[in-house]
Amino acid sequence: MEDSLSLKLAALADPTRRAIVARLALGEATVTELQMPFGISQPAISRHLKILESAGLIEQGRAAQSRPRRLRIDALRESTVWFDQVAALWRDSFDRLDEFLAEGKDD
Amino acid sequence: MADQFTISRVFKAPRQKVWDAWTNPEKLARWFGPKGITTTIVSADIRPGGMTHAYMDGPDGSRLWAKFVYRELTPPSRLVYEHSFSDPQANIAGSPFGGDWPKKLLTTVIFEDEGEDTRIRLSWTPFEATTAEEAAFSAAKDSMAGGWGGSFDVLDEMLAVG
Repeated sequence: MEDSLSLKLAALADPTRRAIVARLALGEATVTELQMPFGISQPAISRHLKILESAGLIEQGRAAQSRPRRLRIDALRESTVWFDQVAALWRDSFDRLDEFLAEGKDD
Repeated sequence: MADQFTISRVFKAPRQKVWDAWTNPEKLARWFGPKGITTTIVSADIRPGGMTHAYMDGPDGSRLWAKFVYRELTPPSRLVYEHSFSDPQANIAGSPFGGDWPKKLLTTVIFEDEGEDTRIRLSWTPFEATTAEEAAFSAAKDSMAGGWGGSFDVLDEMLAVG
């Protein structure tokens, strides 16, 4: 059984899905609106949207005809906190290496 | 095929000094790890087939164990090792952050002269990883490079405002 963070990360592992998330950050959008920039088929975009929904990263609005998709920002924040911990390792280590090398300049 | 994360940075020191900072355990402990972490090296055998075993203490009292198993050392230009989370017995452990973070990451560090300075090129790639581990790594990769690229600027702002 996958935990919810694993589902989110698997959902975000695909560049098209990351781009969909970025687009939804600008505001909700219908399937047609989301499909347009990618030039991929309706079934393909629907598959991506299903994966993002199952991961809890997006949700559907209730507008009868168009059912726009919306980003669930709190759900996304959980995975970015995780990413930041990982990003911090090399970014911080290199900053600290910089300082360490500067200290030893008189050796 | 697994994804690869790469980072490149110039350090204001000659190559031998930078190499020493990576391969002398007392020096490595002084800089390795996120800010606020204190790294303690428990054992170090820095040569091919050898390993460095260490723990990192956070300001909140948390302790994370790590293990580097060395594959290749060509001073002062190339260092290759396997990077894992670990435990007090030096076993390979899963990520304490949760999710499917890869258990083993192949780390290749290249040291190049750049004038009087040194450029480090580091690459990280999962190996012997499950599909789920490779997916988690791919998802994190863009963020590790310092943001998710231009298309995520708005997203970054939204998340920061919190």
